[in-house]
Amino acid sequence: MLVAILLTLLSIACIYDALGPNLIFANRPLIGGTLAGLIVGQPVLGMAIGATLELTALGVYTYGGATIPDYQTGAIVGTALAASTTAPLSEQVALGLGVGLPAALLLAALDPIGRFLPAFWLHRADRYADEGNARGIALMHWTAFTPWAAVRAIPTFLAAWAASTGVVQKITQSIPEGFTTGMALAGSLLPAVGFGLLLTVMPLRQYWYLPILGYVLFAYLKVPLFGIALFGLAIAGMYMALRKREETADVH
Amino acid sequence: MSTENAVTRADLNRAFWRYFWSFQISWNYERMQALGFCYAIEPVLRRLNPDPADYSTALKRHLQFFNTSPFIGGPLVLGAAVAMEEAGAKSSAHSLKVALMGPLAGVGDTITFALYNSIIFTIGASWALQGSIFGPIFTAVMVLVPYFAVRRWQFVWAYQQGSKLAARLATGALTRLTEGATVLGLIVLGGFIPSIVKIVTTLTYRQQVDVQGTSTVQEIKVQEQLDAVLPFLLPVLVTAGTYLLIKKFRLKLVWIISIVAAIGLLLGWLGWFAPALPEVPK
Repeated sequence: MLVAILLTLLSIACIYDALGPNLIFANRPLIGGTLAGLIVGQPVLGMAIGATLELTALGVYTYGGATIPDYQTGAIVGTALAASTTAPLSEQVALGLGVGLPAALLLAALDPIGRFLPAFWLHRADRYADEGNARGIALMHWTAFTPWAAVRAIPTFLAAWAASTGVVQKITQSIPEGFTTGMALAGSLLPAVGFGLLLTVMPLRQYWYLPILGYVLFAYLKVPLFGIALFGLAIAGMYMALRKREETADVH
Repeated sequence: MSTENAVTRADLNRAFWRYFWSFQISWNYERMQALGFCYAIEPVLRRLNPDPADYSTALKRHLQFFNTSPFIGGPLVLGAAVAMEEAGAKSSAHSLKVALMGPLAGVGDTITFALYNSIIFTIGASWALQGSIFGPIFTAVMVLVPYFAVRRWQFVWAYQQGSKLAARLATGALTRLTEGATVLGLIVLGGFIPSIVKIVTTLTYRQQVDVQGTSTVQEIKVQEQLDAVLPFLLPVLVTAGTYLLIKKFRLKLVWIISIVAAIGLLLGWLGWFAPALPEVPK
């Protein structure tokens, strides 16, 4: 029960960080999963599930207030359920992804409720503004967070509580091997969605040749990811310097 | 305006920290970040409006619709709005917010989410998958330090610029930054796609070959044939497929994720495809 409460608090902390200070982007599944893993005492498992979900969530962010799958809660729930089983790590990760991903997609249906309800707090704040009541406005602002937290805390608590009853252990014994290998492939294909999304928001038509550079570095020259990022940084720096020179030349 | 109504350093800091710790916690569909903005700028409004009626009007002015990037945009607009309120330019404080929030939301979301975060978290997650605790630690540090610095700096800078802010933003520095970040993002994407999207086929077929007159049946691995054409051909094709699904068919993201997950689960279950070929014992 203590673990279930701690995981529920974690789900609230994650969404608070995302809306407020964004200290460590705790709403990313990599962070949420790792922290959930620490709580359930299996940090390696939490990190593996979080990282797998993170790669499926690459480039998927809330642009302009749009609803996206609730990956962080999915990572917490997936880690909680997977940790309650005694399977080998690869099967646990497959289970965590098998639970966490659908959970993230389903919880996206609750997200609009959390985004809609604070409007009532806002209307109350309007009245306080009429009265010039700053304390009232502050109170409304901080408590308007309640719906945001509730739509994540309640499902997390239910899932974590179910995990503690040992129900999942029984289910996992009947999981066929094909499910484990299938979820592993699904997890390694899903990053393509995030990359596809990123490509659509970038001017690919104008700069179609740039991804080829990165591709050649990795596929033929075997440069690690961090090295590709540094190479890209250098090219971007050169590009910006050239553009600046062009613009100052135009002025004269 | 009398000097006793000047905004103090403490007021400025209170506005910044209120923004920092709680900017979007009251976000809602109706006016989005309006309440958060009003709450952040309230200490300044209180200082500048000793008359209760003025104070109330000022609060309502800043409770109007507002939405921009919380990282590149939010602190900038807040700093500039404080400066304009202080200068007594009440209506321009409002029109500045309206003018800046749209463009900054676009630039801010692209630079912070689509580019910077995608790169940091791809690297962090791939390290974490190799079992390294430095994965999450790396992302935490790379997020904590730069995002704090960029928000604090923006707020202070925008406050100092005040009414000159709009003109300073138009000089093209912001456009250059966005374009530079786009160049970086596209190069990195080209490398990330083959390294992160993992799929190989385990299918084989039999072929009759004649070796010195005797005909034998040889098992050919399809993956080896594909690698000969282009390394990482399948990951590239899958990504191109999702790109087309999003761009041409305009399917909802939740559906695309569900479709790809279902196809992956099916193909993996059947055993025709896998994330990687099993290690061949030497």
